[in-house]
Amino acid sequence: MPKKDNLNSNDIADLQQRIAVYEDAIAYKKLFFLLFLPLKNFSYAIVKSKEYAEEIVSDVFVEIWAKRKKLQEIVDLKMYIYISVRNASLRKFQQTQKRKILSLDELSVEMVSVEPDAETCLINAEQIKKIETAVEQLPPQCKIIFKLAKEDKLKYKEIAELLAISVKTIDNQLSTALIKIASVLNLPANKPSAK
Amino acid sequence: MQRDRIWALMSRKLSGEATEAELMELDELLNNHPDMELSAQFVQEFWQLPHDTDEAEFLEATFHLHTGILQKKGFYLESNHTETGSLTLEKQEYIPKKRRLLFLAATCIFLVSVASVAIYLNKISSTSLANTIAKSEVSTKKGSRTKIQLPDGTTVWLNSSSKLTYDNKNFGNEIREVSLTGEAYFDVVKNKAKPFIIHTAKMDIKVLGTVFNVKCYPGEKTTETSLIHGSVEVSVDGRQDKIIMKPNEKLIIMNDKAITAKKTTETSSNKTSKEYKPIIELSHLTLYPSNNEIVETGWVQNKLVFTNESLEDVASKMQRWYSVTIVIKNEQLKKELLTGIFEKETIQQALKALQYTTRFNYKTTNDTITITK
Repeated sequence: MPKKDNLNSNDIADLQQRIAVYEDAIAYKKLFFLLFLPLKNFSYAIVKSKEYAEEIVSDVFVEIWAKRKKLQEIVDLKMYIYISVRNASLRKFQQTQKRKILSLDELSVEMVSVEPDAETCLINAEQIKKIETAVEQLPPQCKIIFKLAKEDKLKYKEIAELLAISVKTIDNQLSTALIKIASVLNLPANKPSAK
Repeated sequence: MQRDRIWALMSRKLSGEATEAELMELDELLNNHPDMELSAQFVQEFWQLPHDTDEAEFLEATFHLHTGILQKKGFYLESNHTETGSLTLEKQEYIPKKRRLLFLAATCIFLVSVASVAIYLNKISSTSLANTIAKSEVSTKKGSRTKIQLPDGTTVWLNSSSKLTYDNKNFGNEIREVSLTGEAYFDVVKNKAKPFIIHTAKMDIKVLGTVFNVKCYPGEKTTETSLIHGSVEVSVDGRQDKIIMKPNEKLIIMNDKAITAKKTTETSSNKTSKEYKPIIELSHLTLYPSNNEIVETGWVQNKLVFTNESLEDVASKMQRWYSVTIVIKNEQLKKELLTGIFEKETIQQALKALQYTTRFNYKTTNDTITITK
């Protein structure tokens, strides 16, 4: 199976070192390209404004460059950035909504669309559309977990820390998501002819 | 229910959280439920489909805005390799300007697609310009190293006394071609449609996207390619077959057949054969004993690293590193084997350190160091 590690933590550690040691602007740009979109969508889920979300992520990246010389002290840069974005987004939410607590069921999660590869794919464009619609309709909590696991390739532990929920919940919610997705595929799963 | 169990295991598998035992359990369950296998396969495929790549332009434009914000706050995004003061890039002014142009070009994509007349005019002026500066050349002096970015985004670290040239006009049109003398570390941007080719005096290296080091100093005994990851294809002058390298391998080509005939195991060169056949050897990257760093690419991290190398070879590295001339007056000394790493040491400190393990005297006159027994 071809595996696409968009957010490989080894890559990030490598970029982190290049930024810290050489003030490497190219590595910084790579890091930005790697993380900007997933982070923007994550922030958007909380602040519900594209402008705010982009501003928040950009500000976090400014901070990364500002403290580049001390970057090596951060143990897990990816989580550090995600948590910074979460905190800044929550602050923005409190400012604009004038209340303190945000329920996970209020999140507005947007997914990135996928690109079907006609040559190697079993699955066709129509089926992809069906799945994407099913994903759109997942309850917000389930959907944010699905996004963070699939698109951001975060580990259960990382998602749990970010959303302040238990690993068990993530496990449950993800399999619920998969069951919903499989159900819209309408494959002859229950027909006796399959055997 | 087994159906639920399958999806629970699938979600762990896809998010990389499944244990070996769970993966085996899943396989077995799917074997017992062939009706579920297709659904499982479809869901897995959906999970692994790449994201829409239309975002590259958006990201480029967003990053451009972002650098603007950084500048407003007083941060300038420049790679800071020159801070050590020891680096000089002969075309120092030329490179940043070109980078800026690239940036502009990238952010203008949206506008230009509307104003096609502008593109046309632009093309005319750039071709006439290209005729005058068709060849781009970046070179480093003794004792200096630099990093450059090629138009396709590929990053090249150039070690001292090295030269990289490429055809400005044609680079990236169909293939990406550069020529190298000296030593360079390449981080090549992946592009299957446009292979990246490096020409050196003794061999050509063809890659799709990968990280590796090439060392081909004129006058040295060997030409070396060290592969960090990815894969490369090497064509050696005078040989028909191509060599495919795997990560952590090092390919050594002897530049001078006279010296090498004894040393190699791979090809038995017939001394009477009239045909020139370079002698090659495929080995592994060398790890520095105490910290397992890769010796071949230490210089990229501003370290001069050597393991079990003769004083003669170390001196030749030091000459380029410190921009000095080293003369060894004693044949026996030349063959002494040395291991070490120099990072911030001055040439004097480095020589003193070497004296701890090998007994020699040295004298410094101007930029020439003479080593005697």
